[in-house]
This record gives sequence, C-alpha cells and structure tokens, in this order.
Amino acid sequence: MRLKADSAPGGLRRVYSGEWRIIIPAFVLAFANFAAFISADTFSDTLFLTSYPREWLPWQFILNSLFLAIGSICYSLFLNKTSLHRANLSTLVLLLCGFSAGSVCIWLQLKVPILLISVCAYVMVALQSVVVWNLLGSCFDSRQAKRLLPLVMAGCSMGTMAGGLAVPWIVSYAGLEHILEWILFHMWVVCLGTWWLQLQLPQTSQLETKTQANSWQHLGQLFRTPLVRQLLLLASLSVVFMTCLDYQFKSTVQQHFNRDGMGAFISTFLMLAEGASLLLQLVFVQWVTSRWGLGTTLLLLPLLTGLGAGLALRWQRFEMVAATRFIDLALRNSFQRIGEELLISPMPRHVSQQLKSLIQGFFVPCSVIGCSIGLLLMQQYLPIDIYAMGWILLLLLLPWIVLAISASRHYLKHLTSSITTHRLVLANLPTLSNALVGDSRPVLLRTLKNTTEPSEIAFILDLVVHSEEREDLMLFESLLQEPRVEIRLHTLQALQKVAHDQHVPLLAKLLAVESDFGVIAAALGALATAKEPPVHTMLPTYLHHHQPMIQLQAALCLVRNPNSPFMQECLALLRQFSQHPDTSLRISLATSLAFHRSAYAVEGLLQLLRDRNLAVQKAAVMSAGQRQEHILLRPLLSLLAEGYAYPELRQALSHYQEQFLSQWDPSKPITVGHLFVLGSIATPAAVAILVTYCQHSERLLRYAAVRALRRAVNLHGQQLSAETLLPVVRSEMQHLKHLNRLLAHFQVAPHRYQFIYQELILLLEQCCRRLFDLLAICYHSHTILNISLHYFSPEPEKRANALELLESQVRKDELIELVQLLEQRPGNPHFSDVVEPLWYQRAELLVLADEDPWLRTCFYYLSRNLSDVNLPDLAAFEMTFYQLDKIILLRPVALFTYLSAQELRDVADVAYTVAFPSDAVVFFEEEPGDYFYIIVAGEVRVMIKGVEITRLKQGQGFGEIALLDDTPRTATIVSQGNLECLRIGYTDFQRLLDENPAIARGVNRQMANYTRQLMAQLEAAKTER
Amino acid sequence: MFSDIEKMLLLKPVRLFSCLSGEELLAIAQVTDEVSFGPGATIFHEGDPGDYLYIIVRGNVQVLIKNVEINRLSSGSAFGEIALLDGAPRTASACSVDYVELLRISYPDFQDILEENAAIAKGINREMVLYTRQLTARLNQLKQENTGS
Repeated sequence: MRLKADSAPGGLRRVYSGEWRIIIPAFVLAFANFAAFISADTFSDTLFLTSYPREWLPWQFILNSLFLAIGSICYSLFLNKTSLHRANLSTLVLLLCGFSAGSVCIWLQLKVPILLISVCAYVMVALQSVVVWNLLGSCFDSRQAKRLLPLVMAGCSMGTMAGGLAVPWIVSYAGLEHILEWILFHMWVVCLGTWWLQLQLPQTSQLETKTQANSWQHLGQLFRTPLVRQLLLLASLSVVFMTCLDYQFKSTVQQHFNRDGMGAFISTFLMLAEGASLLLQLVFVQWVTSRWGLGTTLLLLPLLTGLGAGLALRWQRFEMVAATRFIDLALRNSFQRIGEELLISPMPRHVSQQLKSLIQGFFVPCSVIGCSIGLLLMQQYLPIDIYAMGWILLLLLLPWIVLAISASRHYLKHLTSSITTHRLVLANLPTLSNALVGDSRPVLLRTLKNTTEPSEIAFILDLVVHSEEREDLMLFESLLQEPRVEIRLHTLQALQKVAHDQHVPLLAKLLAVESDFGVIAAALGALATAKEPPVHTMLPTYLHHHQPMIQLQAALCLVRNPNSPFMQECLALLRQFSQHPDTSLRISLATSLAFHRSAYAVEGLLQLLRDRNLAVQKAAVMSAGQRQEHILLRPLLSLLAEGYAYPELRQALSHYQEQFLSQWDPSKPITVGHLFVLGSIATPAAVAILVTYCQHSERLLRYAAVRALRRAVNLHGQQLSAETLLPVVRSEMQHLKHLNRLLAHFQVAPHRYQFIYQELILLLEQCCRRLFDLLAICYHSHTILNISLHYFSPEPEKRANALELLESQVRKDELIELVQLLEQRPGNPHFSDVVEPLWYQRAELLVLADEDPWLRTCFYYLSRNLSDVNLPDLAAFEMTFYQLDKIILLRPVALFTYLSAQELRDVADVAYTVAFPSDAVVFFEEEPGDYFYIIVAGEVRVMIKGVEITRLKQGQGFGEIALLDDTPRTATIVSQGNLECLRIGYTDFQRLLDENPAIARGVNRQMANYTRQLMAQLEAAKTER
Repeated sequence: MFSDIEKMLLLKPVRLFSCLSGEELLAIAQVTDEVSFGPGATIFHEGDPGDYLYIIVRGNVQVLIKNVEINRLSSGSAFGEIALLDGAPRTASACSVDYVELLRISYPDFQDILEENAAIAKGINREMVLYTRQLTARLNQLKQENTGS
C-alpha cells in the first residue's frame, strides 16, 4: 500500500515530460473543484443555519443526500449503458445544467426565496462531489493516476486553502450572497477542465466496452462476498456516526455564532480539517498501517472520535464539540482513501467505478436519510438534548468496532488468498476424501457450499468426475440446482468430460429455468456431445441469441440432425465462427469438435488446424487426435514438418500410429517432432527406427532420438537388448572423446573464444547425460539414473563414488573405457595431461568441420577476423549474424543457464532491440513488469524511491522476473547516455513456454537453484541474529 | 494402494503443485508410487542425490542436519520439493520416527512430465516465482532487523 506519493526520480520535468496537456487541466480541475466545494458547502450551511432553527437541521441532511443520490445514480446508469468515456461526457452535460440553474439565480439578483438558493448550492455540491471525483478517477489508468496523485493532491489542498480564505473575505466585504458568483466561476472552470481532459485522453479501448456489459453481473457477484457486504455496512454505520456528529457540531455552532461569523468560522474550520486530513494521509495512517496493520487503523477512527465525543458531552463545551468534529473529518478522509486505494482499485476499472457510485448514490444517502429521520423523530417525541444523543452515539460505536475487526480480518484473508488459495478446501480435505470414498453426498455438497474460490470448485468437481460418483445422477441434479452460478458452470464443464447420455434430461430441465448465459452455453455444449442428436424446442431460438457462445453451441447441436430445416443456417454460422476474431470462441469450437458427430466436424477442424493462433491450433490438434480420422492426418503431418513439436501435436499423432508408421519415409527431411512422435507410439517398429536415428550425424536429432527412446522404454515398457544399443554407446563415446580434446584446447585459447568454451561445456554435459540415458535403457536400471544425479553433483568425492558405482553396474570390459572417459572433466587438475592436446589450428579446423551447424556458426562468427583459416560459405549456415549476436548476449543471463543452444535460439527469436535517448525512463517503480531488458550499449541507473542504488553496464540485464510474472517493478530504470537494449516481452516468452515446455523445465531448474541460494541466505541471516 | 483420487488429494496441499488444476494433478498422480519404512529407518542421507519428492501419508519423519534434529514432519507434509526440479544433493537427512507410509515422485519421471505438459511446467514456474518472492521479502526483513538491532 502506498498512500504516500512516489518521489519523482530525475526531477518533475522528466517524469511528466510530454504529459503537460493532461497535467495542467488535472491540476486546475482539482484546484477549482476544491475551492468550489469548500465555498459551496460553507455557503449552503451558513444560509440554512441562519435562516432556520436547529430542529430543521435533519432536513438539510436529507436534502443534501437526496441530491447526492440522484447524481450518483445518474452516473451509474450512464456508466451501465455506454462506455466510461460517454458516461463522463453525459455527466458533464448534467453538471452544466446544474450550473446554468445557479447562473439564473444570480441573474435574478437573488429575488427568490433563500431556500431555493440553498437548494441550488446543494445541487452543485452533490453534483461536483459525485461527478468530478468519478471523472478524475476514471480518466486515468492506474499507472497515470499514481504519477498524477501528488499533483492532484497539491491542487486539492491549494483549492481548499483558496476556498477557506476566500469565504471569510467575501463575507466580510461583499456579503454572504456573493459567494455564489465565486462558486459558479470555479464550477465553470471545472466544466471546461473536464471537457478538455476528455479530449486529451485516448478513446476507450475495445476491451473495456466488452467488459462493461457484464458490470451489473460483476456487482451482483461482489455483493455476495462477505468482505464487500461488511465494508458496505461499515461505510453506512460510519456515515450515521458522522451525521450525528455533524448535527451536534452544527447545532452548537448555531448557538455560538451570528450569521456572518458563522460562514467565516465554518470555512476556516473546513480548511484546517482538510489540511489535517492531508497530513494524516501522508504520515499518520501509513505509519500506523505499516506498523500495526489495517485492523488497528480501522479501529482508531471510532476510538478517537468516540473519546472526543464522550469528553465533549461530559463537559458540553463548544471547543470539545469542534475538536471532535475536527478529528472525525480529518480521519474520515484518510479512511476513505484507504478504502479506495486498497479495496476498490484492484477491481476492474469499470466495476470499481460502478461500485463507488453505488456506494455514493445508494448506501451513503440511505443511511444519512435514515439517520436524519431518526433525529427528526427523536426531536419530536423525546425530550432529547445533546447529552442524551451522545450516549446514542457512543452505543453506535460498539457495532462499528465489531464490524471493523471482522472486516479487517476478511480483508487480510482476501489478500493472502491468492498465495494460499487452497486453505479452505484443505481444511475440508479429510471429510472430502471420505465423501468421495463412501456415499456421503451431503458432505460433498456442504464442502462445495463453503468454498468460494472458483479454482477450488473446479478442483472438487474434477475429483467428482474422476471418482465413482460420476454415475450418481441425483448428485448431478442437485449440483445443477445449486443457487451459485460457478457451481453450475463447473459441474457442466465437468459433465462435458464424461459425456454420458443419462445426463441429457437433466440438461433439458436446466435449460428451461436457467438465466445465466455462461451456464446456458455450457449446457448446450454438453448437449451437443450426446450420442443421440439433441432435440429441444428452444434450440432454434438460441441461434439468434445475442451471446455468440450460445449461438455457437446451439448451432453445434442443430447441425447434428441432417434433416433439420436449420441446417444451412447453422453451417453458415459455424463457418463464420471458425474465423471469428474472438479467440476464445474459436478455441471452444475446436474443443467441441472432438466428439462431435456430424459432417461439419472434419471440415471445421481442417480449417482450425491452419489457425494462426497457437492456442486455437493446439485445441484443434487435440480434437483431431481424438477423432482419429484419416483425412486429418495429412494436415497434422504438415504441421510437424513445419517444425511445430509441442506435446499436444505429438500426442495427437501418436493416436494415428499405424498410418504414421506406414507413411514413414526416411528420404524426407525429419524433424525432432517426428522422433518424439515415434517415442510416443513406442511399438517395436517405431523403436527400431529410433535406434537408427541414435547414430544420426546431426547432434540435435541424435539426442532427440535418445530422449524419445527413453520415453518409449519408461512409459510404454518397451524392452531393448543391450546389444542393439552398444554401437550407439560406442559412437557417443567417440563424440565425448572429441569434445574433451576440443575442450582441452579451448581451455587455454584466447578470451574471445570463451563463448565457444562454455558452449562446449554444455555440449559435454548433454553428451554425458545421453550416455547415462543410453546405459539406463541398456540395463533397464533405475540405479543408473540415480548414479547420474551423483555424477553431476558439484562435489568431487560424490563424482568418484558415482563412477565406482557405475563400474560395478556395467561390468563389461568395453565400457570400462567409458568410465575412464567420464572421469576426465575439464575441471579436474590433470585434465590437460590426460587428454591428448591438439596443435593450434587443428582445433579450429575441427570445430569448423564439426557436425553441429551451431558450433560451426558460432566459431565462424567469433573468428571473423581470422585470415589464415579457410572459411566456409556463410550461406551454408542456418543463422544470421544478428541472431548470433543476440544469443551471445542472452547466454550469460542466469535464467537461461540451463537452456540448450536450440532452446536459446528460440528465445533469441522473440528478443528485439530498442533504443532510448539519454535520461529516458525505461520503466517506473510499481509499473506492471512487461519486459526483460539486456543492455547492448550504454549504461542505466537503477533507482529506488528516487535514490540511485546501482548502475548497470553493457551485457547486464534487468527485470528478469518480468518474464515469469507481471508483478510490479521494484525499481525505476533511467538511461545514462544513449541506450540500446535487447528486450523480451512477457507474452512472447509465455507463448514460447507453451510451444516448448523444455524451456520451462530449464527455467524451473534455475529457479530451484535460486530458491536454494535464498534459503541458504535466509538460514545465515537467522543464525546471525 | 491408493486410488488416483486419493493421490490427487494428497498432492493438492504440496506447495509446488498449488497452481495446478485437477487434470494436471491427475497426470502427476499417475507417476507416484508408495513406499513404507519401519521406525528409525533412514529415508535419505545428507548429500544423497535429490531423486524423490516425498509426501507423508501416515507417521512422523524427523529432519536432521549433522545428526541434529531440526524439524519434525507429520502426515500431509511434503519434503524434498525443490529436488524435483534440479535433482541437487540433499541438504538434510530424513529419518522415520514410527511406521511411515510415503507417496513419492521420482525426479526423472517428473522431468518427463514437465517436458510433455506446458501447463504443468508453467504452473510450477508461477509457484516458484511466488515462492522466491516470499523468500526474498523475508530475507530483506531479516536483514533489516539485523542491521536495526
């Protein structure tokens, strides 16, 4: 939580550069708004208090909150009908109307009853507090808002000062009525500022207009959560508290001041209270919250004001009443800010705006009106004085405290729930597992009811579907009648996986009463996969539903029946959907086609298999695998030949094992993917092909073949005799020898070949791993894999032990040489003595003649200025120098330590260069992390809270973790001189992880390493204490 | 012998798997096997290669560093989680206190699953990032306290 504004690194000018067109109106808006607010409030209060007796005060509250309610509800309705942008503009018009009314009053020279003027002032106060704050809040995204916060706050406080100083001055020199002109002037400034700001801001994005349609639903869901309910109750109670205090304060003021003095006093009082609240926000509240948590902070408000109110009532002194009101006003503003900052701002902008205006337009006015009516009644029927009312006030404190405690507890739970999402179900796990084993439906249903987390509900229902309970129709029926939408939705999704025909009547029953669109779509989806073509009277009407997902599922249902009169319409609709711009629709179409029994299914899949979006393609590939239709094999194979090798494709192709093997053509170029498919097929014929590829000249294919072989042996239990693999082991040993000799040379080679040396080390490790894999396959032994874990440990004794163990395991004379070979490692002291050295240029020539194009290219790249080596033609290489440049920069990055050259090349493909001018901000603290940067040329400063922490130079990277999650940045980066960077985007990298899980595995290994380091440091820090 | 469902329920609380869905957990549940140890048996020694992740189904396990007990684990807790990602040597020994039943996942099997299933690899990735962030935060806090006192 940051209530305090971030101090701007590198000076104001740099932070706000290029944003003056937004900043100036924002500042002016804040200033004019507060000046007008303070003045109008004072003005209306004074007019009312001087013209009417104390008993009428509650009417003032009622009037005030009525206008607030009208303004907020209008805004909320606008918001629900159109986009944020339009809602803002419409409310602007409303604002203008209110001001025009005020202007007319002035023009009439105040020849109207005083109540009417007062009403006008109220309208203005209400409208401005609803509209302007909403406008300011909705205009900026969170990033901008954070940066603009200090400016807006400054504008607010200066506006408060201006209002607070101007009112007494105007009152004493020109009379109270002339304040209205001053207010109107500021209101017109507010209007202009808002209008200008709207023009400057970019148009609302497509996404936002899409989400806003659901905002009522969102709100409905929000109100069901206990946290929000408690907060609303808290807000209402505190408003009641505030109204009582206000009543007390105003009636005391009325007793002590005359007409002119009152205006001056109230305005000065408000000014001071605003100033104090600003200070409290900046210092006190943040300090208390960071030290004792939110619960304590929430409790402080009633305690402090309650104490003040108690003292004031004990002695009935004017100063005491004023002081209590003062503390209350100051603290209340701070708490309002906490609420907005912590609870509302994490929600989607549209929803948070709705929630805010709903609180403002409904809950606050309702409680004020209720409280005022209570006050009116008390005045009427009870001989009430200030003293007695104080006791009522103190009684109000008690529920406040109880609620504050429980809300803060809930809030904390809400915060930690993302980290420990599963606590709720975990508490119920023993009962849950009993429920699944025995027949205890009530336990299961109860557990589901207690669970609020959607992922938990999905998990429980997944469990149900995988257990015997899936036969239980009664259970599903009761689940489908659950009042909570999530439970119904997840039940249907789970049902789709089972695809039982017994559920069809249940689905029809559900469709008759269901109102939630998501559930209807899921029910239709489940219906579409049933064995018999679904017949339902509602289906044709769903074809014209306004929700595309429902249209899609209905079309899928209807297309099942070949005699249907809607056939042509459905086909046209489905063809349209297969090219729909919304990816989620295409994905669900592709998934639905897996078990779909109609002529359209194959046609649709053929089209979706060529989809350019990877997620859609994957879904189509999986469906194609499940269908096992011959016509779908060819597009799958062509995807494979194009170099796609993701696991879904392999799995899909392994369903076609016979056709795949019969179409096998060794003369065609083969990719790694082909070999993996063979590994998944794992028939003796496939394994025989794999063994031949284990000796292939290209390293990449060779290793892929060994890996596929290991899979075939491990998961599918294929047996292989040691004799078939021994030649492979032998050739791999030759390769190891070759690598060792190269390593011996490059260990002492010039520095520019350091990269080659590192690459060779990696190759050596891979080579050793493959050897262990091969041995494990030869001897069907898990022990060998464990030995390999020992072998790769950093301690020399462990390695020696591992080799001894290996020797006892293999027990074959020809493999003794292998053990000796494995003993020689570049780190060993006698390495260069044992390995036969190569003379200077021979090593270079050997590398240039290496079977691996990667090594050749690297070497060629690094030795560009070698004139005496006969360099081969550049065109023969598959890579460009630009790519290599990138790879060499990426190699030292810690996160990529365990990636092979091939995997690194994939990463390099998504890395792009960007340039920054001098003193530019690369990213700010607290911004969401979206890119990882590596410096190609130049230097950057790393700053935290405006203080320079360190500098980074060429070759160093920053923001690595942004590749793995998009949590906010912890530091600001500013370029020092011209800067050129290589950067990788979060989304690109995540897509890469989807395409190639091996990269994720390598990254996970490095993360494990890092975790170990952190844990060791933590232990050290603990012992230090 | 546990059913897949029971295994999934046992796997669910393991921190490493907390970001995974039911289907993904099922894939992992299928490569687990069950072992049991009598009282006082050593499950692994300090310095052994990290070849398995263990989850205690029944019984108690003590964790020792240089023969000094530093922690005692009871049913439901898991140990050796990070070994599943890097297979690095054990930093502590584990001994059974009483009769212990364990569920375990081997390193090579798990690596195969990671390579075959992008969703699992990414889920674990997310969890690891969360975990390192927590560790870093705790470390910074400790450091601050150390310098403060």
